[in-house]
Amino acid sequence: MTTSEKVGVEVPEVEDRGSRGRATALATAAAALLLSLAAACAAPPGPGGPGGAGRPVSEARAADDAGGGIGPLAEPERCDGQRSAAESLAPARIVGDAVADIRERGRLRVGIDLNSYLWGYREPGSTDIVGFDIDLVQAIAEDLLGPDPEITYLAIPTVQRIDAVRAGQVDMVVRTMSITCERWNQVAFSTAYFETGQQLLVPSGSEITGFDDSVAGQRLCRADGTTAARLLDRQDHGAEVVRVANHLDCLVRIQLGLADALMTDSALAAGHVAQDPSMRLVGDPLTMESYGVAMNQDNPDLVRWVNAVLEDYRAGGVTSDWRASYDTWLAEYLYDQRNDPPPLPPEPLYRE
Amino acid sequence: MTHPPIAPPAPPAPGPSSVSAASASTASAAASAAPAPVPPSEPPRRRSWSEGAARLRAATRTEPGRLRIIGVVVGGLLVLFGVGTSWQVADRYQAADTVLESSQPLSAGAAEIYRLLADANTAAATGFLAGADEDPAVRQRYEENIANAAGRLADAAADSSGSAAAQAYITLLNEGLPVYTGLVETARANNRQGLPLGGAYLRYADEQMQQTLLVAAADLYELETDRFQHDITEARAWPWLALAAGGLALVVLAWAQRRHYLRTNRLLSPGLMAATATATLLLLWLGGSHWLARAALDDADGGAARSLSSLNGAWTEALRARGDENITLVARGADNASEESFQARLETLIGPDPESPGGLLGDAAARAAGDSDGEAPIQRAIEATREWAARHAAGRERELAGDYDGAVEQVIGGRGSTREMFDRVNTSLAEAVAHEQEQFEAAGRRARSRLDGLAVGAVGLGALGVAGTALGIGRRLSEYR
Repeated sequence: MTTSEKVGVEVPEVEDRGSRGRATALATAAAALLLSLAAACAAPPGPGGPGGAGRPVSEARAADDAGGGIGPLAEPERCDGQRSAAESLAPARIVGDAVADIRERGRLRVGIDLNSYLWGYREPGSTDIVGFDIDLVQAIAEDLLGPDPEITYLAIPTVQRIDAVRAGQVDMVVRTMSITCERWNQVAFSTAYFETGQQLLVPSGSEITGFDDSVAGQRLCRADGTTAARLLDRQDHGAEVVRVANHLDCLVRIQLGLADALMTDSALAAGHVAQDPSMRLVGDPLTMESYGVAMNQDNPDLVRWVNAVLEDYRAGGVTSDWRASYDTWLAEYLYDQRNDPPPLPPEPLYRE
Repeated sequence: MTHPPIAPPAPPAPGPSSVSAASASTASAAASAAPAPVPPSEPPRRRSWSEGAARLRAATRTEPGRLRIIGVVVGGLLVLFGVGTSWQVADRYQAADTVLESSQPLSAGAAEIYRLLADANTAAATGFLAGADEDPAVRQRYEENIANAAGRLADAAADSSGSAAAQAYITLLNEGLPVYTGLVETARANNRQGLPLGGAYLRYADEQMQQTLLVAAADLYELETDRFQHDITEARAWPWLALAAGGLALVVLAWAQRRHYLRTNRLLSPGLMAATATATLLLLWLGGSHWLARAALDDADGGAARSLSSLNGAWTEALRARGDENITLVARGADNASEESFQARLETLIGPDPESPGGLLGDAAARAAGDSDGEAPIQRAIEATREWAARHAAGRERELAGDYDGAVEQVIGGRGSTREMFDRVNTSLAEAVAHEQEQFEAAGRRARSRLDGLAVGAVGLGALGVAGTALGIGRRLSEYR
């Protein structure tokens, strides 16, 4: 409670917020306090969140921001008109210009990451690119082009994902890319294919218990231009922030004793744990984010097609292709078999 | 001849000491002593000084006295000329010697430390890209570079023990080197397991190299280069004191001989003639050999050293460009900064215009124009750099088309790779630097040899001149006995 109170009081000073958020921040400071009181007693929020359906979207966002998105306050982002950021176009396999182009070319060009262990990386001892993202790319390519499809994998920097899609350099980006309202203004996303949230990753023996006062005076590492960077700009709980270019650089800093904890989403953290088993996640997720396939806004036929592929990919629950890929890459590091329910693919949300 | 100041009545002068000057001498001595009761605390030095002045004044009134004074002045000037020349030339010889034997080698050594480190960094990245297929030769190159850099650092530490600033840089390098190699080994170990973490480690190692080690090595190079420039400036400085003493000695000698001629109607005083001849000879020797030494030092400093400086700059740019090229691939699309840095470095090397040579290599080539042995390797380096740029563009195209393995092959493979061109740039520049280093050393030795014997000769000639003067004046003096 003390944390929430403190955060609520600090709201007027908060920076790096949309002007709309800033305008409502003061008005909702008290609401945030009440909200966090309520949230502390409430079950984890479903759609609609602890604020109730009648609460204006911007107000809900401001409240989340004020709380630093801590613990139970984390909820999916909502864009204008209450629409969830994860909503996409209805699935359909109709050959439009974009799909026809790809088929004519006989090759799918995909922007991927080669540095995210378990998600997209080069398999040891071979030159193959593998990972959870890559499995999905394979499924999409096979659906579009038939068996043994030709795929061009293009490793692109995080900051160039949107440009690569917009410039038509690639047909799609499948690269642990979170769906956000802001990005929806520049690219189109498929439905969600993975849900995650920002969390703290610490070495074993660390006294940090979560993103709270226990990080005060500790060196907290985060990569530039990430959700973690935005979170830490708003609220650092007295931590000394270590800034690097890539989230993997944070793991290097921790191993070298130059940082005490790193903040990234739990999906990428799984890759870190896999590379350094002494690392562990602490505290509750600070945000609720979904990964989506990013495509050009001018290619709605491709978006619908990918959504149709995703429908099939997710179908079958525990027997789905999604689950098979999950078990191959992520289960060992993300899923506590004794305590967690078996993971299921995220439910798709559609606009129409 | 003491006059106790407390003696109340002026005592009679203690006997006539000389014939004509006696009365004047006592008169002036009395005049200076009489006016006031000088307190006893007055230091006696003052008295002897004024007495000396009085004796001098007395001496100027007789011809033998004047001759003695002329002899002393001429002799003094010749001694000053000889000893001054010897001292100042020895200084310049010493400075030239320091340049040749100590400060320029230290500067070259610092440049080599920089190159070894940059090359080790490049070899580490090249080996990393090959992963488990790492070419043993690349690994060996990395290890040799590190070992040689450590050895050079030990040499530099021993040779520059007098400079606290140099020691500070060397300490920084000595501390940073094992940290760097530790990071490279961690990167290797992770990479061999196929963990992307290895790449992050290598990027961090590269960052340490670029931002700490290479900066310290560059600072050390600059420090040592400044020092050797300073030594060259010292060696080039005109020996004004000696030249002025020599000139003045000749003027006084000429005047003395004219006086001799006017007084005696004798045309020649063999002693003074000999003194004049030796002084002239020494002045010509000093002026001429210093002028020649300066010319040689100008060759060394303005020619070879400048060329060395731009070639060293070009060489390090080439090495760092190669490092950037490798790191771009190590990053696997994690960032574009290294690619931009690569392009900037190539432009620094050959200029923005692919047709007309510019940049550091273009400058170096222009400087070496006319010296075919010096220019040829630089031209080869320019051509190889152009080809390197073209092959790099082809490799980059492959990378951007998603053919990562093709891009790696294009960069670290055999024939047709950018590695081939980089190696050619590397060897060409090594040859060019070795050539300029030779030129420099030859010019430095030439400068030094032009001052050979002058320091000793100056003392000898100065002594001869003094002897001649003594002879000439003594002969005249004897005519008054």
